[in-house]
Amino acid sequence: MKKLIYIICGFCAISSFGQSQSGSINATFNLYEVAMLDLEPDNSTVTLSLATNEAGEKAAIVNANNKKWINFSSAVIGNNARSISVKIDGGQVPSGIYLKLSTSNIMGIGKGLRGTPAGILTLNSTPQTIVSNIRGAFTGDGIGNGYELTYNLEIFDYKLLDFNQSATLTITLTLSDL
Amino acid sequence: MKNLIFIAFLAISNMLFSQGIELTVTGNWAKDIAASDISEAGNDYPTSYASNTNQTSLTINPKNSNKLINVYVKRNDIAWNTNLNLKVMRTSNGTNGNTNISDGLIYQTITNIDAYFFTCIGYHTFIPLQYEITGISVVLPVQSYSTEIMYTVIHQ
Repeated sequence: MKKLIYIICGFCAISSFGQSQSGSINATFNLYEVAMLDLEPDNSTVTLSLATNEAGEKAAIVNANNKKWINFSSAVIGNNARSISVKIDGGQVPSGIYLKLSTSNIMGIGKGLRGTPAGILTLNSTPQTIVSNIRGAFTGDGIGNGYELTYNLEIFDYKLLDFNQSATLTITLTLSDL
Repeated sequence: MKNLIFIAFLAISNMLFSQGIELTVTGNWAKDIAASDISEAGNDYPTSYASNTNQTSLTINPKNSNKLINVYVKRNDIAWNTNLNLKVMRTSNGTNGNTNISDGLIYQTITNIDAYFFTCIGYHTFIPLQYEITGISVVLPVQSYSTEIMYTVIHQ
């Protein structure tokens, strides 16, 4: 009789275990590389000029609107890194002066590894890195986010200056893999 | 001999009445996160992505049992990142008109541990489920993130 009870209990236990069932599906999210760069407030012309009030005075550099902001979004594979480079793509800097570009420290609401600025550079037609080591990151959108760029003129040789000379330059900024 | 026949009778009847619940789960969710989802340089991806309201369907067949059935959910990660938060919710009662079903109507996070999702009684066909994922960001390494979502039905 005892044996019988054990057997019945055994079947009941087996029966209880048989009362669950599982099934599954997969959820997959495919992320891709992103490299987006933008200038804020816009990519309008920056105007820099030299002026003198009196004969014999040192020429003054007039910077009316010489600032822009770089915003970017970057997504990379593994530990890959990107940089932002700058070069003069068209036109020539008037003789006797340098065109300088200063890159600020990172600012704003962004997140991630947003890179390291190069400081102040003299622009020419060769690409130069202004921000290196950008990885997965975004700066935030608009003025006050990312890196502030400040363009300036520097006179290196007065005798080469020609005050009737003006030039329009095209400056290209590129976000690329290292 | 009598005992043997009795045991055989018990075994057969037990088998008949103890048939497990039948659960059918269909509908993976595969999502391409495109750079075009970023509205402008400087921004991140949208805060969340939602699947179709019937991305996954559950059909629960308790085989004539009227016992309460609990549905549990968990995930088994294949390639995952701790910043990702995957949620699920039930968007209706299913297609066969059985309204004997409750809970699961708001998003709940799917973790790596079985968690109660909803409860029902009787046969339900194509109970539709919707997912939401948050935490997708350009900050994450570029790759495919994948997890298995497992549903388990148990008689209470």
